[in-house]
Amino acid sequence: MTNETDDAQLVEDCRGGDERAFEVLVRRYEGPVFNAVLRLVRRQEDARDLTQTVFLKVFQQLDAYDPRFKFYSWLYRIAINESLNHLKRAGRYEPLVGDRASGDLDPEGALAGIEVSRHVQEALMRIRADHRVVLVLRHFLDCSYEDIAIAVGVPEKTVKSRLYSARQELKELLQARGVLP
Amino acid sequence: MTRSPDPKDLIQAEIDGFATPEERETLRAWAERDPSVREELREMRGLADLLARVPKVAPPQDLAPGVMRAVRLSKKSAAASPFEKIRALWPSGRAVLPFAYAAAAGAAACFLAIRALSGGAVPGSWVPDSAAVGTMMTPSGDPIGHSDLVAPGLHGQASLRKAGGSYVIEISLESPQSGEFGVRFDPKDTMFVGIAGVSHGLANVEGAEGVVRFSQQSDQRVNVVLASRVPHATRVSLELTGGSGRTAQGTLEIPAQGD
Repeated sequence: MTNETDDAQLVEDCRGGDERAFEVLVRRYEGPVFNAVLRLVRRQEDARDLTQTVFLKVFQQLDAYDPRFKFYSWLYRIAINESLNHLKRAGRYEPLVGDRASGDLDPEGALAGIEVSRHVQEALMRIRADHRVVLVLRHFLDCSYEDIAIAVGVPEKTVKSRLYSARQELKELLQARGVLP
Repeated sequence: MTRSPDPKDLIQAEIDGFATPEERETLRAWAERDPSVREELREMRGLADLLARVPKVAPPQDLAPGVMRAVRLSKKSAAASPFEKIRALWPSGRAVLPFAYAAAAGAAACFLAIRALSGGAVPGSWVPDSAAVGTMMTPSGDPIGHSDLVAPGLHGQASLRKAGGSYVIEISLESPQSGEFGVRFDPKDTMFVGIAGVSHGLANVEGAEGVVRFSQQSDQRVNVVLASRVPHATRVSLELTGGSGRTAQGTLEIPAQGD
């Protein structure tokens, strides 16, 4: 049984009042949702609170879920909306603590996972939010173009062009920081 | 008539792993004869490889249990009494000081007692039943106040949000690694409802009339829940003290009822 089929059954069980079925869904998707939200809003505390809020909203709105669509596309859509609303509320950009100029980069250290993560996150926070969303869905949640289209609510063609622009924007920022050649 | 494919689409399909064998062959041939396509393909592959190296972050261990507690609370909240709601906010798995628990319950009990004694028409009826009920979840709505506590080597932040009939001050420490916070208010105007460590437990919490003090780490967030006793706006003072003894101060204003 695929996760997709399994998800649909679990949602049905939740609607029937089975709380344990919802816990299975939470356990299955807490990692992807937390990571996606973290990449969108940057702060771990915010990502944690938002992830919790997302799952609570999902639970409260299960009756509104249309089973013709994949459960995770719907879940990610709620996660994206919550994250974007949070960013609008915060209304400001916070630089990373301990961030360094590109000239200070240690060539070996720059390739380590933690350094890559720091530079990518910094660059992600500087690009347009709608560009950040498609990059996160594609590269961190491994969504197909179709999944992204459903999660974001735009046609697949728009996803492709937005993803292209987002990649260009991110690439240029990372090149300017010396992280990409 | 067949339209020739856009090299941008082909490059994206290639790096995303969605290209068909025919598309891959078309792109290969294109890249061979056009250096700009070759360069773009190289750059995009480099970006995709870099993003693939970004490590996944493990979600906090208590995230799923926290969600399930919130789910159970949301199911019960319509039927629960105010006291039960308060008790549900501080489950056994989270480190919370007994004094906060008792203060929250006491605040609710006092309010309900006053209300009952006065037949429900108390002068303080601007405090609804839900006033003593805070939330472990992010309070809904936009922040209605924000204060930066800044001094050399010190940076803390406090945001005020409404949560039901109460107000939640979300306090975070940006630097240094740890600091001491003090939240002061006039107890005639403002009622202390509770305090909870959102990210971790709490340390060195002290409560006295009109002041709550606690230690905080920079990766921690603390929620202090207050409720207004009066219809007019009230002021809450915040103080952050770092290890060097330097202090930073800020204020927040709990708005007048109806604002």
